[in-house]
This record gives sequence, C-alpha cells and structure tokens, in this order.
Amino acid sequence: MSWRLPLGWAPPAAPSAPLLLGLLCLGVLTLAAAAALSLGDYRVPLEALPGILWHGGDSNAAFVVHELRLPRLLTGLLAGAALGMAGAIAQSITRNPLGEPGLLGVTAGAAFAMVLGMAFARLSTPAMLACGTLGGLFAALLTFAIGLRTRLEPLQLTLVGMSVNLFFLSAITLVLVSSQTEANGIYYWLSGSLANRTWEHVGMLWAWVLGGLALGLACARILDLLALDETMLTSLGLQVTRWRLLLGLTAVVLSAATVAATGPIAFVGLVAPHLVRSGLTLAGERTTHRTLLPLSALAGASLVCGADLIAKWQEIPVGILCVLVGGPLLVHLIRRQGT
Amino acid sequence: MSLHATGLRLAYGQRTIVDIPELHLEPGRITCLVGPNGCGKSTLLKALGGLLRPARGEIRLDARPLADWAPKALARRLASLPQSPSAPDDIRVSQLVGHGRYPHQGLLGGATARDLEVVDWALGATSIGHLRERRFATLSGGERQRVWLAMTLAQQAEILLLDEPTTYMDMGHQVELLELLAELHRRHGRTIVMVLHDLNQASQYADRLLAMRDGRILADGTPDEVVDSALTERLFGLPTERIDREIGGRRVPCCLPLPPARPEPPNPPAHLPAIQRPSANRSATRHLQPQIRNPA
Repeated sequence: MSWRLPLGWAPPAAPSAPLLLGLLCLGVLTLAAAAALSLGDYRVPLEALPGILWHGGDSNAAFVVHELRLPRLLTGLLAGAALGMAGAIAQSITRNPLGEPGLLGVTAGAAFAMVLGMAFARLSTPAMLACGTLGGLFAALLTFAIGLRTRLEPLQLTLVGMSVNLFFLSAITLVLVSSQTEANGIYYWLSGSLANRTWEHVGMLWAWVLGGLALGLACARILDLLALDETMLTSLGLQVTRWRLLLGLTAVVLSAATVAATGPIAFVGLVAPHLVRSGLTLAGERTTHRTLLPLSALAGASLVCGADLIAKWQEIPVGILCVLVGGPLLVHLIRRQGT
Repeated sequence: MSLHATGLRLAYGQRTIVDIPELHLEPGRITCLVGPNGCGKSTLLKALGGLLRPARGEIRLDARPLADWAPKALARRLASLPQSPSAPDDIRVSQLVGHGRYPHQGLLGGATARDLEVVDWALGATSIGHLRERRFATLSGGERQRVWLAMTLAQQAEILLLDEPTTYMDMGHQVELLELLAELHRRHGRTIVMVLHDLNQASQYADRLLAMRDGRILADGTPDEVVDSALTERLFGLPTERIDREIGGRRVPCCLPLPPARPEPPNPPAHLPAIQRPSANRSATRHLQPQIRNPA
C-alpha cells in the first residue's frame, strides 16, 4: 500500500517572517505573563493560574493574582505596546531613526506635570494620572503648534520637539532643586517603574492605548507614503501636513497616558521598532508599516513584560532594565546585519 | 478639459520668477517647455500641477481654479513628476509604483485587483517589469527615473506634467522614454506638458513649444514655426544652424551649434617669456605610438 496525498493538497507554504516574528513575541509575552503571575514572594502554582484567572475566588492566591500581579502585568503590557507603536510612528514622521515619543516632547511634559503634582500638591492617584496625561498632551501640542509654521517638516519638527523636551527637563530639575520635598520617590518614578500599579492605572490606560493602537493601524499605509518627498505627495493628492499632524497626535495619544502611568520608559519606543526592522531585514522581508506597527507594539509589550519580570525580583525600576535588556539585543542585531 | 492660466505671477517670497499674462494648454497635445537654466520653466510646471500657489492670478482646470479642487480628485486628473525626487532606501520598486494608486484608493482599503493590474501595466510600459522586486536604492539613475515615471503613469491621470523626465538617462533610454510618451499621447490621448533640456528632442516630440526666458514666454508655436538660430541666440546666446529633417511626414527642425566667432587672443605682455611648444621634439614621442604589425 502506498501513501497518497489527498487531491488538492499542497505542502504548506513557509510561514512568512512577520508571522514568525509575531508568534515569537507572543511566545515571549505568554511566558513572561505566566511567570509574572506565578512567581514572587507568594508562589502561585502554574497549573492553578487558569482557574484563578477565570473563576477568581476568595483564596489568598486569587487575591495576590487579581489585585497585585494582574494590574501590574496589564499596565506593563499596555504601556509596552503603546510605546512600541508610538516609537515606530515617531521615527517615521520625523524621519529620524533615533525617534521616540519623547522626541515630540510628550515624555518630559508628562514627567514635569507629575513632578509638579508630587512636589506641590497631594493628589489622589487618578488625579495624578490625569495631571500627567494633560502635561504630556500640552507639551506635544506645543511642539505641533510651533512645528505647524513649517508644515511639520520632519527636521524642523525634530528640532522643535527636542527643544520642548529639553525645556521641560530643565523645568523638572528646577522644581526638584527648589522644592523642599523628598526627591527620592520622584527620582524613582522618573526612571520608570511598574511597581504598585493598580486597576486604577489599567482603567485609565486601556482606552487611550487601544484607541491609539486602532488609529495607528488604520493609518499605517499613510506612514509608508510619508517617506516620499513632500512635492511628490502633494502631487499624489495627499494632504501632507494634515496627515503628519494626525499621526503625530496618534503617537501622543499612545504615549501621554502611558508615561503618566509608568513613568518614562521611553527606551522601549526607540528599541522595539528597530528590533522588528532588524528581524524583518534579516529575513529578507520588506518592511511596510502594516507589519511594522503591530509587530512593534508586540515587541514593546514583550520587552516591558520581560524586563519587569527581572525588575520585580530586585525592585529595580523597569525603565533601566529595558535599556539593559534591549540595548545589547539591538547591538547584536545591528552587528548581524553588518555581516 | 484644459488648463488655463490668467494673469499668472509666480514668486518665491518677494522674488518674481514667472510672469505670464495668459496661457492656454489644449487637451491631447504634447507641449514642451524649453529655455535656459533658471528661466522659470520648472516653477511654471509646478504651478500648473497645483504644487505652487500663484502669487497673483489663477490656473483653472475645467474652468475651476486648482485651489478649489479636492486634492485626490485633482491627482486623478493631473499627475506631476518633479525633478529628482527621493525615496526611502529599503522600498521595493513595485511598492513605490503602487503608491501612484493612492488617489484612487480609500483610506482603509488595500490594493484592489484593478490597482495591481495598473501597476503591472505601468511597470511594463516603462520596461522595468524585471525590476519589480528590487530595492530602489540598488537602481541606477536611469532606472530610478523610469520607476518614477511608472509611478506617475500608475496615477492614470489624463494630464502628465513632467520635469525633465529624461535626466540621468543614456541616449537610448531617453528616446525610449520619449517614444513611450508619444505613444501614450497617440493611443490614450494623454495631454503631456514637459520641461526638456534638449531643444532638438523637444522639437522632435512636441506639438507645441513654449520657449521661456527670465520668467516670460518668448516664443510659442509649433517647432517648425519657432525653432531657428534667432531663437537659440535669444534663449541661450548661442548661434546655431537650423537643419530640417523629415520624420513621419513632419518637418522637424534641428539646431546644431555654430562655433562662436572667437576674437583673436591678445598678445602676451612683453615681459612674459614666449611659451615653448613641445611639438618640435617629435622623435621623443614616436616610441609611444603603437607598433602595428602586418599580420601577413
């Protein structure tokens, strides 16, 4: 008897590079999530996790997972995804490979508002978050308002954003130096941390992040086009300034609330898109923003969740760990591309 | 369907570049803009494409000012190819040509079967089908120029405004491209307005020549009417000899430069020694000449 293939059967096509990369990120994410929920001072056995997640319960384990670990994990997930995509968008509209949301002034603006709130007022958590988000939005709008004079031309936008960024950074230093408050807590926050994040943070974040992600995905094709000359685009009937503004605002929507919730872990925004690009280039795949944006979001989320796992161990700010983990990874990929 | 400019003044800041009281471009013709560098022909072309807002006057397409058109609707009627555009390094040729379909696409919809068909046609028409998967950065100057033209063709506009489309191309590719444009004009009735540097190419392919200098139109008519030595002298300060050729039953004037009447060089000042010419010493160079041996 011989084996015969059923009619119409074809050998499965090799899965495409973007798909593989996406699956890889999802794998890392799942592992990190499982570890984040189960490991810690109070060990929750892995096999008990699904039950606790679905049905809850009154046990200590359920309390630890639901009230302590899940919010932290979700905050990290949302923040990573948001910053990953915002970074990819910022790099494209400023045509600057070193772009990240901070380049639009968001990070420093949000941080300044938070520092102001910490130093001079005792605000509740939601009020603090709102304050930070507004600060980020304000700084970014300031950047765009000045940049509009030059039709948000990439180089000018970068220069304006950098100036706004530096302005708010010095304002932070000024507040820290002149106020009497104990600066340690503020410094800790300024390095970006996920410690003690609650459902309040998740509740504030998710709408901004999901809205921003959807908007980003919808406009991905325009980002491909924006890499062309302005004259060429005008001749194609694209309203360049309008789209630059809309996409810039998308990056801001993604990052303002995120920075307010986690502190500036902006390095994710810089490194996640580059990790994806390097991965795609190594696989010989063309990079379009339809694949770059979602993959950057996934890579960002994996990076933050993975880094937070290590951060939780020693309670080091996750922002610093993102740099420690992502930096060498990026250098490795760049070296491989060079050969 | 026609482009019509009235009382047109184009300026960069305070500096007036182009001043044209009236210009009417008829549909279905090839019009060439010729003139010396900096005469304003590229600026005029930009304004005709709606890429530059006139400082005064207006340009109308179908009796409607360009500024009143929705950008995408205008891009479906009128396609401009600016001079030496730039593209990201890692983009593929097919992707870049596909961008030309933007004015025909909705915001969310991807490329339709029709889009792919048009891209294929544009790649074929510019004979770069074999380059479709190549990265743009790896192409030669002439290939790049043909990719840009393919992108402009993919826009499927009836009016094409091309700024020096033959730049960077060798002679063969130049003629190939101009023949393609002539074919588009003949078979599909496209209206073509282009800036060409080579007056002879312009007079071979144009139905109408617009000769510009210092932002004004000096001559306007068929090549047979306007091309002669007087024109080249006014445009370029270069005396030429007009030679008529018969191409496809049409008289095509062709201008070849005459050597300018060179004034005698002044005598060198007396205190400078006369230059020794090495020509006296012939025998020294003789051994450098190749020895051609008789194969027999």
